[in-house]
Parts: sequence; C-alpha cells; structure tokens
Amino acid sequence: MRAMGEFDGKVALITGSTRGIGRAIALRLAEAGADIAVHGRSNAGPSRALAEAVCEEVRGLGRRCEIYAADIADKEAVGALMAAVEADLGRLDTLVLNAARAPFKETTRLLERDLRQLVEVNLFGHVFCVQKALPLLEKDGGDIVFISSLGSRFMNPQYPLGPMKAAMEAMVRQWAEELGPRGIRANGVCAGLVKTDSYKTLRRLWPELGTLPEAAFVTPEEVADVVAFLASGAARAIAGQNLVVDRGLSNRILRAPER
Amino acid sequence: MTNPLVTRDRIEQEVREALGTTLRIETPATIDLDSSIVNDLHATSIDFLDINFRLETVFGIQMNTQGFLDLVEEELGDGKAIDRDGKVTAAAAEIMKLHLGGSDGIESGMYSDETAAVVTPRMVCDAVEKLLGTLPAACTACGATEWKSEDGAKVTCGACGKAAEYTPGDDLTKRWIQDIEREKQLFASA
Repeated sequence: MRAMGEFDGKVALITGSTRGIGRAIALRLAEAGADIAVHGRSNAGPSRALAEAVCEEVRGLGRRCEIYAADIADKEAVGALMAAVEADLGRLDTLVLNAARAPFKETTRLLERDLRQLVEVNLFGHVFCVQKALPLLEKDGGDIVFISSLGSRFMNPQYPLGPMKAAMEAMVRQWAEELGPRGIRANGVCAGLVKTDSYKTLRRLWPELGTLPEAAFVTPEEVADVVAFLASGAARAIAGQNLVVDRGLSNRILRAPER
Repeated sequence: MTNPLVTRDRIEQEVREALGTTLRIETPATIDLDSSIVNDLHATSIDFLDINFRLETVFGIQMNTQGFLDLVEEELGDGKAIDRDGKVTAAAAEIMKLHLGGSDGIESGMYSDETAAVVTPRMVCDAVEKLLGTLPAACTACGATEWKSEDGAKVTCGACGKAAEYTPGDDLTKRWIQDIEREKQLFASA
C-alpha cells in the first residue's frame, strides 16, 4: 500500500539516475510520493539494466516510473525527452540536474574534444534541460535542484568538472532570479565526498582519499534527503542557494601544505 | 625487460583475481585469457577502474589513467587519433594494432568507444608485466641495488625498505608512442 507523501501526484525527472546519487534521489522522491522519470545517456547494455532495476524499485514503492535515454548535450534530444515525459507521465514538477560526464585529468592535458564534452554536457546540457522543461515546470510551479560538488569551490586533483560545477552554481543563482517570478525555484546541493563510481577514479588519482575516515564521506541517500527537502514546500523560502552537504568536511582543514 | 621478482604466473593469477572479484566470476581460474573483457566477461568502463585499482594495490604500480587513443593525441596532436565523428583514424588504428600486438578487432573508421572490446585478460597481464619491467636499477631513496619481494608481488628496497617506484603507465605508453612514431612515421602525413 502506498503511503501519502509530500510529492503525491507530482512527477520528478532526475537526469543521470541509473546509479549513484541520481538513483538515490529517484528512490527518495518516490518514497515521498513522486512518480519518477529515470534518465540515462544510453539505452543499451548495462545502462539499460541499471535503469530497469531503479524503475522496478520505484514501482515497488507504488509509483509510476518510466525510463528515458538522451544525451543532454543534444538540444533536440532534450526536447524529445521532455515531450516524452509529458506524454507518459502528464506533467513535470521537479527537475533534478544530476547528470555529469567528464574526464579525470589535469586541465593542461585536456584534448579539444575533452573540453568540448566537458562544457557541452556539464554546462550546455543543464541549460538545455531547463529551457526545454520550462513550459512544464511553470504550469503549477516547479523546482530545479542542481547537484554540485565540492570541486566547485575547492581544487580536487585532475578534476576539470570542478570549474563546470562552479559555473553551474552561479547558474543556479541566475535561474533563481529569472525563474522565481514564473513560480520556479532553483537551488543546488553541493555534495562532499560520496563513494559512487567517480570515487573509483578519484581514489586512484588522489591516494590520500583512502586514508580519510569513513565519517568524511557522505552517502548518496544523505544527498538525496537534502534534494527532497529543497524540492519540498518546507524549503519554500530558499532560492538560489547551493547547500553544502559534506558532514563538515570543507569546514575543516584536512590537507597540510607541502613542505 | 621483465621484473625478476614477480613471475608471469603471479601476474596472471592476480589479473584473474581482479577480474573475478570485480565481475563476480566465481571461478576466476577458468577465465579464458583471450576472451574479450567487455563482450565475454561483461565489464563496463567503471569495472576497468576497479580492476586497475586492484592491480595497482597488489603490485604497487600505476596503470594507465587515460585511454590509449587519448594518449596518442596528447603526444601527436588533437584530433589525430579520433575524428570529429568519434571514429578511429587510419593512423590511429595502425598504431593501436601495434600496441596490442596485432589485434584483429581494430579497424580504421570504427567508433573509438568500441575499441575497448578488443581488450583481453592477456593484454592486461602484458601491461602489468611491462610496468613491473620498469623496476629501476637502484632504489630512488637510498641508491641500493638490492630489491626484494616478500609476497611475490610488491617489490621493496632490500636496504631501506622503500617500495619500488615504477614508471607510471601513462608515461610508459607515451614514451612507446613517441618511439614507434619516430620509427614508423604513421602520423607524418595524417
């Protein structure tokens, strides 16, 4: 039996929700009552299997769930994605911009196509999503939540995604002002260290990570809880903010300068 | 050059273990060393991170952090290995075949993300063996020339106990790319 929730009757699209933080957000919003649009870049092979597993869990909670594949760097594909969500689920109330794609390398080693992909997915892609979702989001007043990371404000080794996150945190502030009058709130969650797939790369490039205590890491579920809060009525007075969710990691100095 | 303290058998055993643990294969000893890690063992790109991390931890080496074609472009120029459509160029296909020891699966014009399918456990063993083969003549910390290995995998200095410093995978591959390009001039007219 499905319980009544804050998001009953609402629809949430979470980009990049086949695994990691995106998956946790999809499940958290479904628990709170939302029907879910699960999104991934590819619709084939392992990605499809992961999406189906998330979908099954969401449906197990008594909510509707559909799977969508689209490269968010492709504006037309994003338009088709939003049209499909409207056709299948009837509306869109919460847009969570979680998808990301980036190489892990020093900026001096970035090839031209690395750099283009970095900007096209992690900046253009989110803007395309918001532009194409606007007509749906403004129907009944909607919420945008962007998933950022500490790389937006602190240097992480070989993490060119950080500057993209910084740009997007500024975009969140822009959207909050531009879209507020249209009944749409925009906020971000700046997640600390989370043991998702990207951690598997980071731990190879940043050996000190392996020495950090477990308490330094945030779980995907903890990030998802804050996303659910920001998209809920309880956060109605919050707009244009990027909330740091890192168990206080960035509040401490953990790395000593080199001698 | 091979590392006298780490046997090929040990490398194969650890590669099987890394594949078995990451890909949840219950009997790693039965893995065919010439199978495709992607097509036959169903690994994703994320799985390769895990496999490499396990091998790095066991042997104290640094596997490649970037794909081979990316390293070709870092050394020989943007767009030289992968064209604007994401397809492998003719010169890049040639150099990749040489790098992999003449793999049949690599063709000019194939999509670059399809190249991972040709990687076999044997190629991973070869890569580990090459990295271990960069064991320096002398310890970088104390200058001693006596190495030892207690577990047959990690090599330490016999005098000061410091772990051996091998050439990082990216650097070794880039050096190979430069050497082969000097010799073959595959990209000279590309």
